[in-house]
Amino acid sequence: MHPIVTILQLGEQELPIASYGAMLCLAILIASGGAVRAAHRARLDVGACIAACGVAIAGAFGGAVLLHALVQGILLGSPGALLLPPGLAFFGAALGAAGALALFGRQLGLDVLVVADRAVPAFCIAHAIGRLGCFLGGCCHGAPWSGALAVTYTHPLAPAAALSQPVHPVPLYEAAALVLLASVFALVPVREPGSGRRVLQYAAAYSVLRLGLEPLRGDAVRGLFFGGALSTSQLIAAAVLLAAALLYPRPSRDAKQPA
Amino acid sequence: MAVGSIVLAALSLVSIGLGVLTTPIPVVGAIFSFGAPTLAIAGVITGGLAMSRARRENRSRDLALAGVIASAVCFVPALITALTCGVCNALCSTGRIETRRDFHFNIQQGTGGSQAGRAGQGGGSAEPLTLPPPPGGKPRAPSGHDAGPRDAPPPAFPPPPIDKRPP
Repeated sequence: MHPIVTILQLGEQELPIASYGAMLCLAILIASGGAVRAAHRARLDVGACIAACGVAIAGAFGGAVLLHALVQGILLGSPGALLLPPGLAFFGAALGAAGALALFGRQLGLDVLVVADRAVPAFCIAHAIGRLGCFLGGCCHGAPWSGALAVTYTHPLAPAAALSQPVHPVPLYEAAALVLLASVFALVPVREPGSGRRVLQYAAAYSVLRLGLEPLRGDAVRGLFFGGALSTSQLIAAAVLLAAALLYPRPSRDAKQPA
Repeated sequence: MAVGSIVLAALSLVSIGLGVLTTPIPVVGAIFSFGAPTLAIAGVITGGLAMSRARRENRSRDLALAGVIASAVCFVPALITALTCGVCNALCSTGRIETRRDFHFNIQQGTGGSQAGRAGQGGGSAEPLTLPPPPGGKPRAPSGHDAGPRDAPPPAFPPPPIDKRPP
Protein backbone atom coordinates (compact mmCIF):
# COMPACT_ATOMS: atom_id res chain seq x y z
CA MET A 1 0.00 0.00 0.00
CA HIS A 2 1.00 3.62 0.03
CA PRO A 3 0.90 5.17 3.50
CA ILE A 4 2.88 8.12 2.14
CA VAL A 5 1.59 9.90 -0.97
CA THR A 6 4.65 12.03 -1.51
CA ILE A 7 7.40 13.81 0.37
CA LEU A 8 7.46 17.57 0.10
CA GLN A 9 10.87 19.21 0.23
CA LEU A 10 10.60 22.46 2.20
CA GLY A 11 14.16 23.75 2.11
CA GLU A 12 16.11 21.26 4.21
CA GLN A 13 12.94 20.00 5.87
CA GLU A 14 11.14 16.99 4.45
CA LEU A 15 7.38 16.75 4.98
CA PRO A 16 5.88 13.36 4.14
CA ILE A 17 2.21 13.59 3.15
CA ALA A 18 0.27 10.73 4.70
CA SER A 19 -2.30 9.23 2.35
CA TYR A 20 -4.69 8.67 5.27
CA GLY A 21 -4.60 12.39 6.06
CA ALA A 22 -5.05 13.33 2.42
CA MET A 23 -8.06 11.03 2.04
CA LEU A 24 -9.50 12.28 5.32
CA CYS A 25 -9.26 15.86 4.06
CA LEU A 26 -10.99 14.86 0.83
CA ALA A 27 -13.72 13.07 2.79
CA ILE A 28 -14.32 16.08 5.02
CA LEU A 29 -14.48 18.40 2.02
CA ILE A 30 -16.99 16.14 0.24
CA ALA A 31 -19.19 15.75 3.32
CA SER A 32 -19.11 19.48 4.06
CA GLY A 33 -19.69 20.33 0.41
CA GLY A 34 -22.67 17.99 0.31
CA ALA A 35 -24.12 19.58 3.42
CA VAL A 36 -23.66 23.14 2.13
CA ARG A 37 -25.20 22.18 -1.22
CA ALA A 38 -28.15 20.60 0.56
CA ALA A 39 -28.64 23.75 2.65
CA HIS A 40 -28.45 25.91 -0.46
CA ARG A 41 -31.02 23.78 -2.31
CA ALA A 42 -33.32 23.81 0.70
CA ARG A 43 -32.99 27.63 0.83
CA LEU A 44 -31.56 27.46 4.33
CA ASP A 45 -28.91 29.70 5.84
CA VAL A 46 -25.67 28.60 4.15
CA GLY A 47 -23.52 30.50 6.66
CA ALA A 48 -25.13 28.68 9.56
CA CYS A 49 -24.61 25.41 7.69
CA ILE A 50 -20.90 26.19 7.25
CA ALA A 51 -20.64 26.96 10.96
CA ALA A 52 -22.50 23.71 11.72
CA CYS A 53 -20.01 21.83 9.53
CA GLY A 54 -17.17 23.32 11.56
CA VAL A 55 -18.88 22.34 14.80
CA ALA A 56 -19.50 18.83 13.47
CA ILE A 57 -15.88 18.44 12.35
CA ALA A 58 -14.61 19.59 15.75
CA GLY A 59 -17.03 17.23 17.50
CA ALA A 60 -16.10 14.40 15.17
CA PHE A 61 -12.39 14.69 15.87
CA GLY A 62 -13.00 15.06 19.60
CA GLY A 63 -15.26 12.01 19.66
CA ALA A 64 -12.95 9.94 17.47
CA VAL A 65 -9.90 10.63 19.64
CA LEU A 66 -11.82 10.19 22.90
CA LEU A 67 -13.36 6.86 21.91
CA HIS A 68 -9.98 5.55 20.77
CA ALA A 69 -8.38 6.69 24.02
CA LEU A 70 -11.25 5.18 26.03
CA VAL A 71 -10.87 1.80 24.33
CA GLN A 72 -7.10 1.89 24.79
CA GLY A 73 -7.58 2.83 28.44
CA ILE A 74 -9.93 -0.12 28.98
CA LEU A 75 -7.61 -2.50 27.13
CA LEU A 76 -4.52 -1.34 28.99
CA GLY A 77 -6.36 -0.92 32.27
CA SER A 78 -4.88 2.54 32.66
CA PRO A 79 -6.61 5.94 32.81
CA GLY A 80 -3.49 7.50 31.30
CA ALA A 81 -4.50 6.40 27.82
CA LEU A 82 -5.19 10.02 26.86
CA LEU A 83 -1.43 10.58 27.01
CA LEU A 84 -0.84 7.88 24.41
CA PRO A 85 -0.39 8.79 20.76
CA PRO A 86 -3.79 9.74 19.36
CA GLY A 87 -5.90 7.47 17.20
CA LEU A 88 -9.25 7.87 15.50
CA ALA A 89 -12.38 5.70 15.69
CA PHE A 90 -15.23 6.16 13.21
CA PHE A 91 -18.09 5.55 15.62
CA GLY A 92 -16.53 8.08 17.99
CA ALA A 93 -16.47 10.59 15.13
CA ALA A 94 -20.12 9.96 14.24
CA LEU A 95 -21.30 10.16 17.82
CA GLY A 96 -19.13 13.22 18.50
CA ALA A 97 -20.47 15.06 15.46
CA ALA A 98 -24.06 14.16 16.34
CA GLY A 99 -23.54 15.25 19.93
CA ALA A 100 -21.95 18.55 18.93
CA LEU A 101 -24.76 19.30 16.48
CA ALA A 102 -27.39 18.35 19.06
CA LEU A 103 -25.77 20.78 21.50
CA PHE A 104 -25.13 23.70 19.17
CA GLY A 105 -27.45 23.14 16.21
CA ARG A 106 -30.31 25.20 17.57
CA GLN A 107 -27.97 28.00 18.64
CA LEU A 108 -26.80 28.22 15.03
CA GLY A 109 -30.39 28.68 13.89
CA LEU A 110 -30.26 25.76 11.48
CA ASP A 111 -32.57 22.79 11.05
CA VAL A 112 -29.75 20.28 11.07
CA LEU A 113 -31.91 17.27 10.22
CA VAL A 114 -33.18 18.84 6.99
CA VAL A 115 -29.60 19.29 5.81
CA ALA A 116 -28.44 15.90 7.09
CA ASP A 117 -31.33 14.01 5.47
CA ARG A 118 -30.55 15.58 2.11
CA ALA A 119 -26.79 15.16 2.40
CA VAL A 120 -26.71 11.46 3.34
CA PRO A 121 -25.38 10.30 -0.09
CA ALA A 122 -22.48 12.75 0.27
CA PHE A 123 -21.82 11.43 3.77
CA CYS A 124 -21.72 7.86 2.43
CA ILE A 125 -19.24 8.81 -0.30
CA ALA A 126 -17.11 10.71 2.21
CA HIS A 127 -17.20 7.70 4.52
CA ALA A 128 -16.12 5.43 1.66
CA ILE A 129 -13.21 7.73 0.85
CA GLY A 130 -12.18 7.66 4.49
CA ARG A 131 -12.10 3.88 4.29
CA LEU A 132 -9.93 4.08 1.18
CA GLY A 133 -7.59 6.16 3.34
CA CYS A 134 -7.57 3.29 5.85
CA PHE A 135 -6.71 0.88 3.05
CA LEU A 136 -3.88 3.07 1.77
CA GLY A 137 -2.58 3.63 5.30
CA GLY A 138 -2.72 -0.07 6.12
CA CYS A 139 -4.87 0.30 9.22
CA CYS A 140 -8.24 -1.37 9.98
CA HIS A 141 -6.98 -4.42 8.11
CA GLY A 142 -8.61 -7.82 7.85
CA ALA A 143 -7.83 -11.21 9.25
CA PRO A 144 -5.37 -13.50 7.46
CA TRP A 145 -6.96 -15.04 4.39
CA SER A 146 -5.67 -16.41 1.11
CA GLY A 147 -8.70 -15.93 -1.15
CA ALA A 148 -8.81 -14.26 -4.54
CA LEU A 149 -9.32 -10.75 -3.14
CA ALA A 150 -6.66 -11.03 -0.44
CA VAL A 151 -4.04 -8.30 -0.20
CA THR A 152 -0.60 -8.32 1.39
CA TYR A 153 0.63 -5.16 3.06
CA THR A 154 4.37 -4.71 2.62
CA HIS A 155 5.11 -1.08 3.44
CA PRO A 156 6.81 -0.93 6.85
CA LEU A 157 4.69 2.02 7.93
CA ALA A 158 1.47 0.03 7.44
CA PRO A 159 0.36 -1.59 10.70
CA ALA A 160 -0.88 -4.59 8.72
CA ALA A 161 2.66 -5.23 7.42
CA ALA A 162 3.50 -6.81 10.78
CA LEU A 163 1.41 -9.82 9.74
CA SER A 164 3.45 -10.38 6.55
CA GLN A 165 0.67 -12.49 5.05
CA PRO A 166 -2.41 -11.99 2.85
CA VAL A 167 -5.44 -10.54 4.62
CA HIS A 168 -9.06 -9.63 3.89
CA PRO A 169 -9.21 -6.13 2.33
CA VAL A 170 -11.90 -5.12 4.82
CA PRO A 171 -11.65 -1.35 4.17
CA LEU A 172 -12.30 -2.04 0.48
CA TYR A 173 -15.35 -4.20 1.30
CA GLU A 174 -16.66 -1.40 3.46
CA ALA A 175 -15.95 1.29 0.88
CA ALA A 176 -17.74 -0.71 -1.83
CA ALA A 177 -20.76 -1.25 0.40
CA LEU A 178 -20.86 2.45 1.26
CA VAL A 179 -20.75 3.44 -2.42
CA LEU A 180 -23.65 1.06 -3.03
CA LEU A 181 -25.50 2.60 -0.11
CA ALA A 182 -24.82 6.10 -1.47
CA SER A 183 -26.22 5.06 -4.86
CA VAL A 184 -29.41 3.76 -3.26
CA PHE A 185 -29.84 6.91 -1.17
CA ALA A 186 -29.16 9.11 -4.19
CA LEU A 187 -31.70 7.29 -6.37
CA VAL A 188 -34.49 7.09 -3.80
CA PRO A 189 -35.90 10.56 -3.18
CA VAL A 190 -36.02 11.91 0.37
CA ARG A 191 -39.48 11.82 1.90
CA GLU A 192 -40.13 14.40 4.58
CA PRO A 193 -36.63 15.92 4.86
CA GLY A 194 -36.13 16.94 8.45
CA SER A 195 -37.79 13.89 9.94
CA GLY A 196 -34.40 12.24 10.39
CA ARG A 197 -35.52 9.07 8.64
CA ARG A 198 -32.74 9.11 6.07
CA VAL A 199 -30.03 9.69 8.68
CA LEU A 200 -31.38 6.86 10.82
CA GLN A 201 -31.55 4.58 7.78
CA TYR A 202 -27.89 5.34 7.08
CA ALA A 203 -26.94 4.73 10.71
CA ALA A 204 -28.86 1.44 10.80
CA ALA A 205 -27.50 0.25 7.46
CA TYR A 206 -23.92 1.05 8.43
CA SER A 207 -24.36 -0.64 11.80
CA VAL A 208 -25.56 -3.82 10.09
CA LEU A 209 -22.63 -3.60 7.68
CA ARG A 210 -20.17 -3.13 10.52
CA LEU A 211 -21.63 -5.97 12.53
CA GLY A 212 -21.19 -8.21 9.51
CA LEU A 213 -17.67 -7.08 8.61
CA GLU A 214 -16.10 -7.01 12.07
CA PRO A 215 -15.52 -10.80 12.18
CA LEU A 216 -13.32 -10.36 9.11
CA ARG A 217 -11.14 -7.74 10.83
CA GLY A 218 -7.73 -8.77 12.06
CA ASP A 219 -6.43 -5.77 14.00
CA ALA A 220 -6.53 -6.22 17.76
CA VAL A 221 -5.96 -2.51 18.42
CA ARG A 222 -9.67 -1.80 17.94
CA GLY A 223 -10.51 -3.54 21.20
CA LEU A 224 -11.96 -7.00 21.75
CA PHE A 225 -14.19 -7.95 24.63
CA PHE A 226 -15.81 -11.12 26.04
CA GLY A 227 -12.83 -13.24 25.10
CA GLY A 228 -12.62 -11.81 21.59
CA ALA A 229 -16.25 -12.59 20.80
CA LEU A 230 -17.24 -8.95 20.33
CA SER A 231 -15.30 -5.86 19.30
CA THR A 232 -15.87 -2.30 20.48
CA SER A 233 -17.37 -1.41 17.12
CA GLN A 234 -19.80 -4.33 17.25
CA LEU A 235 -21.01 -3.26 20.67
CA ILE A 236 -21.47 0.32 19.50
CA ALA A 237 -23.04 -0.79 16.22
CA ALA A 238 -25.59 -2.87 18.13
CA ALA A 239 -26.38 0.12 20.35
CA VAL A 240 -26.70 2.44 17.32
CA LEU A 241 -28.96 -0.08 15.56
CA LEU A 242 -31.19 -0.28 18.63
CA ALA A 243 -31.25 3.51 19.00
CA ALA A 244 -32.10 3.93 15.30
CA ALA A 245 -34.99 1.46 15.63
CA LEU A 246 -36.33 3.24 18.70
CA LEU A 247 -35.93 6.76 17.30
CA TYR A 248 -37.22 5.97 13.80
CA PRO A 249 -40.29 8.12 13.24
CA ARG A 250 -43.35 5.98 12.61
CA PRO A 251 -45.79 7.21 9.97
CA SER A 252 -48.78 8.87 11.59
CA ARG A 253 -52.27 7.33 11.25
CA ASP A 254 -53.36 10.26 9.09
CA ALA A 255 -50.59 9.56 6.64
CA LYS A 256 -51.67 5.94 6.28
CA GLN A 257 -55.18 6.88 5.21
CA PRO A 258 -55.59 7.51 1.46
CA ALA A 259 -56.31 11.08 0.55
CA MET B 1 -16.38 38.30 13.34
CA ALA B 2 -15.46 38.10 9.65
CA VAL B 3 -12.08 39.66 10.38
CA GLY B 4 -11.64 37.19 13.23
CA SER B 5 -12.13 34.35 10.77
CA ILE B 6 -9.36 35.68 8.53
CA VAL B 7 -7.09 36.19 11.54
CA LEU B 8 -7.73 32.61 12.67
CA ALA B 9 -6.89 31.36 9.17
CA ALA B 10 -3.63 33.31 9.26
CA LEU B 11 -2.81 31.96 12.72
CA SER B 12 -3.52 28.46 11.45
CA LEU B 13 -1.10 29.02 8.59
CA VAL B 14 1.58 30.22 11.02
CA SER B 15 0.89 27.23 13.24
CA ILE B 16 1.35 24.87 10.26
CA GLY B 17 4.79 26.36 9.60
CA LEU B 18 5.78 26.20 13.25
CA GLY B 19 4.42 22.67 13.49
CA VAL B 20 6.63 21.53 10.61
CA LEU B 21 9.69 23.39 11.88
CA THR B 22 9.34 22.26 15.51
CA THR B 23 8.59 18.62 14.72
CA PRO B 24 11.88 17.47 16.31
CA ILE B 25 11.00 19.20 19.60
CA PRO B 26 8.90 16.89 21.77
CA VAL B 27 5.47 18.21 22.82
CA VAL B 28 6.03 21.69 21.31
CA GLY B 29 5.79 20.36 17.76
CA ALA B 30 2.64 18.43 18.62
CA ILE B 31 1.02 21.53 20.12
CA PHE B 32 1.59 23.54 16.95
CA SER B 33 0.71 20.64 14.63
CA PHE B 34 -2.55 19.82 16.37
CA GLY B 35 -3.27 23.50 17.01
CA ALA B 36 -3.25 24.33 13.29
CA PRO B 37 -6.43 22.41 12.31
CA THR B 38 -8.10 23.55 15.53
CA LEU B 39 -7.52 27.19 14.56
CA ALA B 40 -8.69 26.51 11.00
CA ILE B 41 -11.93 24.90 12.24
CA ALA B 42 -12.46 27.84 14.58
CA GLY B 43 -11.99 30.09 11.55
CA VAL B 44 -14.60 28.14 9.57
CA ILE B 45 -17.11 28.37 12.43
CA THR B 46 -16.48 32.08 12.95
CA GLY B 47 -16.71 32.78 9.23
CA GLY B 48 -19.94 30.80 8.92
CA LEU B 49 -21.47 32.69 11.82
CA ALA B 50 -20.36 35.97 10.24
CA MET B 51 -22.01 34.95 6.95
CA SER B 52 -25.18 34.05 8.78
CA ARG B 53 -25.22 37.36 10.63
CA ALA B 54 -24.55 39.29 7.42
CA ARG B 55 -27.50 37.51 5.79
CA ARG B 56 -29.83 38.38 8.66
CA GLU B 57 -28.70 42.00 8.75
CA ASN B 58 -28.76 42.25 4.95
CA ARG B 59 -25.11 43.30 4.75
CA SER B 60 -22.34 42.26 2.39
CA ARG B 61 -20.93 38.87 3.28
CA ASP B 62 -17.84 39.03 1.08
CA LEU B 63 -15.40 39.42 3.97
CA ALA B 64 -16.99 36.54 5.87
CA LEU B 65 -16.87 34.38 2.75
CA ALA B 66 -13.19 35.23 2.35
CA GLY B 67 -12.62 34.13 5.95
CA VAL B 68 -14.43 30.84 5.39
CA ILE B 69 -12.50 30.12 2.19
CA ALA B 70 -9.16 31.05 3.78
CA SER B 71 -9.87 28.85 6.81
CA ALA B 72 -11.05 25.95 4.65
CA VAL B 73 -7.96 26.22 2.46
CA CYS B 74 -5.75 26.29 5.57
CA PHE B 75 -7.59 23.31 7.06
CA VAL B 76 -6.30 20.85 4.44
CA PRO B 77 -2.54 21.32 5.02
CA ALA B 78 -3.24 21.81 8.72
CA LEU B 79 -4.90 18.41 9.04
CA ILE B 80 -2.18 16.75 6.98
CA THR B 81 0.46 18.39 9.20
CA ALA B 82 -1.37 17.18 12.31
CA LEU B 83 -1.66 13.62 11.02
CA THR B 84 1.95 13.56 9.84
CA CYS B 85 4.19 15.80 11.98
CA GLY B 86 1.82 15.88 14.97
CA VAL B 87 1.38 12.13 15.21
CA CYS B 88 5.10 11.55 14.60
CA ASN B 89 5.95 14.05 17.34
CA ALA B 90 3.43 12.45 19.70
CA LEU B 91 4.89 8.99 19.00
CA CYS B 92 8.41 10.23 19.71
CA SER B 93 7.35 12.27 22.74
CA THR B 94 5.86 9.20 24.36
CA GLY B 95 8.80 7.00 23.38
CA ARG B 96 6.72 4.76 21.13
CA ILE B 97 8.91 5.20 18.06
CA GLU B 98 12.65 4.81 17.85
CA THR B 99 14.53 6.64 15.11
CA ARG B 100 17.97 5.79 13.88
CA ARG B 101 20.40 7.56 11.63
CA ASP B 102 20.08 5.13 8.71
CA PHE B 103 16.27 5.29 8.59
CA HIS B 104 15.69 2.04 10.44
CA PHE B 105 12.85 2.44 12.84
CA ASN B 106 10.84 0.42 15.29
CA ILE B 107 7.22 1.29 15.90
CA GLN B 108 5.41 -0.19 18.88
CA GLN B 109 1.76 -1.02 18.34
CA GLY B 110 -0.92 0.12 20.75
CA THR B 111 -1.66 -3.22 22.40
CA GLY B 112 1.84 -4.35 22.92
CA GLY B 113 2.53 -5.91 19.56
CA SER B 114 5.65 -4.78 17.83
CA GLN B 115 6.37 -3.89 14.28
CA ALA B 116 9.77 -3.37 12.90
CA GLY B 117 10.98 -2.57 9.46
CA ARG B 118 13.26 -0.75 7.14
CA ALA B 119 12.13 2.37 5.41
CA GLY B 120 11.99 2.29 1.67
CA GLN B 121 10.89 -1.28 1.13
CA GLY B 122 7.41 -0.39 -0.04
CA GLY B 123 6.07 -2.18 -3.05
CA GLY B 124 8.42 -5.11 -2.74
CA SER B 125 7.77 -8.70 -1.80
CA ALA B 126 6.30 -9.64 1.55
CA GLU B 127 9.52 -10.45 3.30
CA PRO B 128 9.48 -10.58 7.11
CA LEU B 129 10.01 -7.18 8.66
CA THR B 130 12.71 -7.56 11.25
CA LEU B 131 14.96 -5.00 12.86
CA PRO B 132 18.59 -6.09 12.69
CA PRO B 133 20.17 -6.34 16.12
CA PRO B 134 22.50 -3.49 17.06
CA PRO B 135 26.25 -3.97 17.28
CA GLY B 136 26.92 -5.73 20.56
CA GLY B 137 24.00 -8.09 20.34
CA LYS B 138 21.90 -6.79 23.22
CA PRO B 139 18.29 -5.93 22.39
CA ARG B 140 17.54 -2.22 22.52
CA ALA B 141 14.85 -0.94 24.79
CA PRO B 142 12.44 1.53 23.19
CA SER B 143 13.63 4.75 24.71
CA GLY B 144 12.58 7.72 22.62
CA HIS B 145 15.10 9.39 20.38
CA ASP B 146 18.20 7.50 19.45
CA ALA B 147 20.80 9.09 17.27
CA GLY B 148 22.86 5.95 16.70
CA PRO B 149 26.64 6.11 16.94
CA ARG B 150 28.10 9.21 18.59
CA ASP B 151 30.26 10.20 15.63
CA ALA B 152 27.32 9.99 13.29
CA PRO B 153 25.38 13.04 12.13
CA PRO B 154 22.05 13.75 13.83
CA PRO B 155 19.07 11.74 12.60
CA ALA B 156 16.77 12.95 9.88
CA PHE B 157 13.51 13.50 11.68
CA PRO B 158 10.83 12.40 11.03
CA PRO B 159 12.32 9.35 9.28
CA PRO B 160 11.06 9.60 5.71
CA PRO B 161 10.34 6.34 3.90
CA ILE B 162 12.51 7.04 0.89
CA ASP B 163 12.04 4.69 -1.99
CA LYS B 164 15.35 4.46 -3.76
CA ARG B 165 14.27 2.31 -6.64
CA PRO B 166 15.72 3.40 -9.97
CA PRO B 167 13.34 5.57 -12.01
